[in-house]
Amino acid sequence: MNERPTICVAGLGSPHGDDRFGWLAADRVGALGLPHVAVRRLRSAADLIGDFANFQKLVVCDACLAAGPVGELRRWTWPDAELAPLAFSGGHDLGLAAALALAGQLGKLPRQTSIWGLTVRPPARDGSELAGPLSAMASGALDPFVDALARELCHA
Amino acid sequence: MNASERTIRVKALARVEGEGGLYLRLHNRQVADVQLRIFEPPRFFEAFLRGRALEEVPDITARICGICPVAYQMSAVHALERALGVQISPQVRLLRRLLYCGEWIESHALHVHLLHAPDFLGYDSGLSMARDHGPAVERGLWLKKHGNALVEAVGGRAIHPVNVAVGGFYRLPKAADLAALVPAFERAVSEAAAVCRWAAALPFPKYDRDYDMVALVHPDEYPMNEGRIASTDGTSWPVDNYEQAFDERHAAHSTALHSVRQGASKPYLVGPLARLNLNLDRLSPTARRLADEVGLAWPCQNMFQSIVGRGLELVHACEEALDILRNYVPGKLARAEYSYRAGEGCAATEAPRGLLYHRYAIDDRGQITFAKIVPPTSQNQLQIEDDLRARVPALLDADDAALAAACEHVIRNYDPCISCSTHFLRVQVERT
Repeated sequence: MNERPTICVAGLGSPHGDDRFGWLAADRVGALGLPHVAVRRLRSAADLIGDFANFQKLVVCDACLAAGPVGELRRWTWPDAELAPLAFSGGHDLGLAAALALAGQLGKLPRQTSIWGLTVRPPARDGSELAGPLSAMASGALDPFVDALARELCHA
Repeated sequence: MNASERTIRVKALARVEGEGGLYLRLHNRQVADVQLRIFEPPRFFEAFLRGRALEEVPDITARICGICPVAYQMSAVHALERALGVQISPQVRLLRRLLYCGEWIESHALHVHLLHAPDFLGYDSGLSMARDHGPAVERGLWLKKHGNALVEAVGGRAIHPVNVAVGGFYRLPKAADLAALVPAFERAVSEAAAVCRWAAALPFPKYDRDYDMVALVHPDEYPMNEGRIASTDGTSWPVDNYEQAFDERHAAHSTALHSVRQGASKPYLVGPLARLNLNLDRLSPTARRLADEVGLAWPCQNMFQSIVGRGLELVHACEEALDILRNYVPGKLARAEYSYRAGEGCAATEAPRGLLYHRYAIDDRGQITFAKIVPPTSQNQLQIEDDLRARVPALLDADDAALAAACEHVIRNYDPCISCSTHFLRVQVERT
């Protein structure tokens, strides 16, 4: 019998440099084959104002700036006021906190939402890193990130 | 404090793009002083463009604003193409209009639903409004999302597009990529019409004033990238004469420059109502029918009804985009070739917020030697202050918080993009 996913892991990111982290983390979770977990790649925080209310839990994975030391993995349970000033994907569009707040008001969020962020370094001023691969730091953080997230997902 | 003096300061204007300040001083129940205090970091763009290669200008100027980057790119490339003597192809011309449609949609949808409508419905934010008006807000967010999708499809990225080049584009969009957007834009036309009708039903104060409204006019199309500059007083100018017809003066209370018409006794304004008042019959068919249906008196002179104007332009942009998307067949050349030559060129295009003027001088190595950028919000500053001066007397019995909120509503009628002109708003009201 097919189990209907009750958890959605949404990787937030873009094709540019370490901003790919959220997507790659979500892809790795998807590769685990957990039957109760669905995985999505999202391009902007505004995409969180979607149909996630059908899940019991939403987990957002993203790279972020200034949440802590570079390379630090952080977890927040929504709502959390600490999220508002942090820079997640989409500096000129709806920010993560605003998108989650709107999604909540519109009844689009499930009962539980958590945000997992990896603090990354801002890209080089010449933009050269944006076209390159994931940085060594972010690449090295993928496995521990996915391991920690998988433990939470398996105990959900 | 003297009971006849009253000062109100709003330290940070909400629900506008950017930051700024408003100072309002009342003396004996008269408006003694109104100052829209704006700080203008983007003027630094004019300076640091000097010495850059002209090919960098679209990408650099796009970063003046995250809501209207296309506008900066369009004014930039058209001005540089004038300087170089470049003729763009009809397909590039059409694709640039399509790109601008995307920006108008995302910008207008955002402003109408999350920034401006809360004022009319008595909410302090789009977030609190969403609780009670969920379907309307969802509709607006859906339109914004598809405006962004269109900008990404043509411009290569939803925010700060990367595909705009002098002479055209770095690459032409694939036919399949644009065709994939057709179903969404078939729906978008009806959703935008619903937005327009919804906006038209909002409660508007009676506030007709004799404005001087300025926008591009074009004989054949609703203007975006081309045309003459015209005023609702009947005057018009070629774009080349912009700096002879309009001047910029420094305001002591702000680092912003205030735009004025030469020889005029009153300020002027730019934006959607200006475009509509000057180009109503060039709207798309559905938008034109709605313009008659929604009950506005044309020409519309009530800036509170600019929200309806944005609704009409949403319909127009969706309908024009659909037409272009349905008929798109990629050509062979993405951009025209050019050779460097020393020269100057200027252009004016219609940003979501109004007329955006650029002028550049280049040398024979293709480097920028001079840049001038006049954003729409800069042009609206004097008119905003004038509107406040006219509006406040009817609100004097309100407490400071209510008076400040009413002032902010007047300012939001103009959808100011303070990121373009400034950082946004701290309001001070002094009552003496």
